[in-house]
Amino acid sequence: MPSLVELVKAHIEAEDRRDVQATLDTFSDDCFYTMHAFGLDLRGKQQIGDHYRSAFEAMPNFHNPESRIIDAGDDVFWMGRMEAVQTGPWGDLPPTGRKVVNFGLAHFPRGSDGRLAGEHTWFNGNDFLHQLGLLPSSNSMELVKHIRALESKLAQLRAKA
Amino acid sequence: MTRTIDLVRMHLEAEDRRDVEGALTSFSDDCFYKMDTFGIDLRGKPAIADHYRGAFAAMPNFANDKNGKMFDGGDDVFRLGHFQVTQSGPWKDLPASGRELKVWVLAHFPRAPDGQLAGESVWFNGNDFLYQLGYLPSANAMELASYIKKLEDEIATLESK
Repeated sequence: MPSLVELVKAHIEAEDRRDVQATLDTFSDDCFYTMHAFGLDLRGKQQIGDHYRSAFEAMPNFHNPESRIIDAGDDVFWMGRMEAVQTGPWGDLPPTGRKVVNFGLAHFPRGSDGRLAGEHTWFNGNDFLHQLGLLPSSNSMELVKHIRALESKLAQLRAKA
Repeated sequence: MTRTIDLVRMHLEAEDRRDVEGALTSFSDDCFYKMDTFGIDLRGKPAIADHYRGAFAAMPNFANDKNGKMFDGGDDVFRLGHFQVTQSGPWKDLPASGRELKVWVLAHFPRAPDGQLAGESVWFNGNDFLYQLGYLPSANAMELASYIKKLEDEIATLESK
């Protein structure tokens, strides 16, 4: 059985090749994948495979050019940078043709069968969408101000109409 | 030399006492503190102390999750747990909400060349934090993008009349 660090390396390398099956091969059968910033909480290889397929279709040059792996025993952490150009639709997002460079962190705990139990991804989702031109800021607090200003303007326009 | 994980424990215990000086004792002199989701990227103890003072004043029941988990990666330590507080005072541009929030937080503490903690990178969903306080309509960055687009479209329609 490969070590947990070797499994994480294989997982990242498979992501870099946009190889969904090889990415999933590093996971246990009852695996999970979370991306809280986008409300994703997936269970099992079917759901996670669908997620990877749609992400790779939307961002066909998806890759992780900067990687650092930290071995904490039964948990391995990956820190690094992903890059992609979003040329296709992804979920509710239209294709933007824009490049996104995102620094993030991923946590891979050991599964009961010795493979990876799954992956928790941590990154700034606002920054991701800001770079695609879909949010006005990467900063959550600035989004509060922006939305308040829009809601206030809309209320004034509705009052006049 | 004190192990990195023991320095992190000292840091967290000081945070639980809302002891600003104690929290900074385990940090290197040229330390950093990052909370990317709120655009916070601080350098040096005075700036970080100001941040802690502001947070502790706004959230006086600030405490780390007793059931949180530490991950020892040698020169890098990670701490995962719930952050649960009541925002009873103003914080940055936010007025006091009086609301309680609970978010998952992953903190990364690398060791500095002097053996102290180089600093702390704090990862969490800032939208969720502000959603629970009533300042944002969703915790999900994609839903915020849709909401902003809807407001902008309605404003454009009303302005064109």
